[in-house]
Amino acid sequence: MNWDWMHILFMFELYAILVIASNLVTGYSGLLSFANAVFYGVGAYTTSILMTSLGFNFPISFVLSLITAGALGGILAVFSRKFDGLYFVISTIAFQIIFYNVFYNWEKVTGGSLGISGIPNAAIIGFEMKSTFEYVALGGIILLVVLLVFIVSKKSPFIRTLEAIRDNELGAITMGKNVNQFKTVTIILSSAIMAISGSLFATYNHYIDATSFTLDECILIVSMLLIGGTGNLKGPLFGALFFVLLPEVIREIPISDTKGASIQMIVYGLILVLIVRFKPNGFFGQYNLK
Amino acid sequence: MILEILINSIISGLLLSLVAIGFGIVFHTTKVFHLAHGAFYVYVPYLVWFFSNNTVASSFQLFFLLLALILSLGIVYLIEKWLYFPLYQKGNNQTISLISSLGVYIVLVNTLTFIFGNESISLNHYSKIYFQETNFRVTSAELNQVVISVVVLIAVYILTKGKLYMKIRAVADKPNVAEKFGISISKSRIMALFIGTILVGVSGYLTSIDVAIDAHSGMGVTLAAAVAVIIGGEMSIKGTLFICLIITAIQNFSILIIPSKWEETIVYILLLIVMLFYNKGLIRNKLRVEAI
Repeated sequence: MNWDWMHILFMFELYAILVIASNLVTGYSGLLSFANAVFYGVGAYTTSILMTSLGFNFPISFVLSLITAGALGGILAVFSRKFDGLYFVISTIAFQIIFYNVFYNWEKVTGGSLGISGIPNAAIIGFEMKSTFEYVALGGIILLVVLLVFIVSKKSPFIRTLEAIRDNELGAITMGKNVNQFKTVTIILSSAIMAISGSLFATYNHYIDATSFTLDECILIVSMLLIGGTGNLKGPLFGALFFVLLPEVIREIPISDTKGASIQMIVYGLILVLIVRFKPNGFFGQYNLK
Repeated sequence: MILEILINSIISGLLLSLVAIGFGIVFHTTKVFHLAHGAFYVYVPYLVWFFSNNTVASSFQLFFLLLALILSLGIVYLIEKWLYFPLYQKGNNQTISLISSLGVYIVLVNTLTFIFGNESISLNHYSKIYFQETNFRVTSAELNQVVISVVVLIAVYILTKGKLYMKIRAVADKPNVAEKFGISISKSRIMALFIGTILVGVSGYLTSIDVAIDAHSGMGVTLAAAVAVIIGGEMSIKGTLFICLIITAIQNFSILIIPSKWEETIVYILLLIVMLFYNKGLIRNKLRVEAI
């Protein structure tokens, strides 16, 4: 097995952050969103544009990426808070497709199909990340911070209220909770956290284009969440690890890359079907979407 | 130019309406947001293409179409028996059904790319110019698309006046009451899926006799069809047809004002607006006062 372990570890960190953020909306609020790649993409594009076209440094670009994605999350929340269940899912799919088209077609800003290249390395307080190992360290620190925040806030009134809304929305309203406000804040927070992965990905890869932020990417993130399970932190971590390792395992099969990609997708699809059919909580989930 | 755009809009609208009406019947009856519908949009033309290229009788395209439809019905039957119906019996909500359907779509489409590769296919072997004027022309493939679509739509309209569709509709509206009156929910669900699959398969086939399609073409069409169903309103076939024509007209005519690359975006913005303000759709069937 000639695997690039450092690259795999970094990708695991990126996806773990994305899935934990997605879990905030799905596992704690009970809303399934297919617009994850929008915020991942907004994080990546904002960082890239600020660093390449406007000459901002990484920390400022990083923070502004989070703010931009959070603001966009706010817009999604305002649009979709009237919907529930299936209609929320449909509205997020529409949102995803609209923004994929914006990434792909707004050539002046996003570079269109050519994307943005020459994105500089991330640098913090004069220390430039030059190797994959340094990115793994940076990603690891950020992932740890995200995990710590979630662990510490697990018993907080905010998370408890979200769980109450998820389990019994009417009951939460009766208790005087402003459900819409909580859902809006959750979507904003989740969007901002997703932008972290986008920002890191852009500086690690030095190139981004719209093909990294498609509906398929959303499906992948949702699959990671569903296989691991929602409502806790073990599930997203397991899901991210599973789906990051899976392509590497499939690559060991002696077939062409195209056929390998098809097998990979078939396995994703089968897992999704089997999970929904036989294990709706995922492997470690506390809550299912039933 | 305007006439050409208008004709293209009508043809695309008719083809989209077949997908959308099928999607609508399945969605309202089974409550499954049947994304796997899009897989059959490509399965049928791929199977026809495969049979045509691998048998001596390559001219029997209609026979191959029938064979492809029967195979597709077999697949959809298995999906219902093994996945959708057990989920329905467990009382799972629509979000779970959507995820299951998405999984099925991914498996089906990637099985196709595994076998046939990612290259697009076309069944347009013999299209000739049927009619030509200074500003527009109609090919024989386009004429076939219009004639067959209209015939199929008329057949669907007649079907909706029959007992079979009434049973499907009863299951769609009030499954528990329908069951009390002896209507089999499982049979009605399967019939709805069969009708939907035939419609989407025919639409995929008709599209491929004019332009090339690839294995991934079905998702975009299905989502556009879902937009038409949501905007068109519940179980309204005329409403869905009308909205499909409007959607394709907006898409085609928008190129006069804005670049064509934004046409998909317009459809989804339209969907969000309608969902926001008219969450029961723009067009509704007339209901008796006690049903409102």
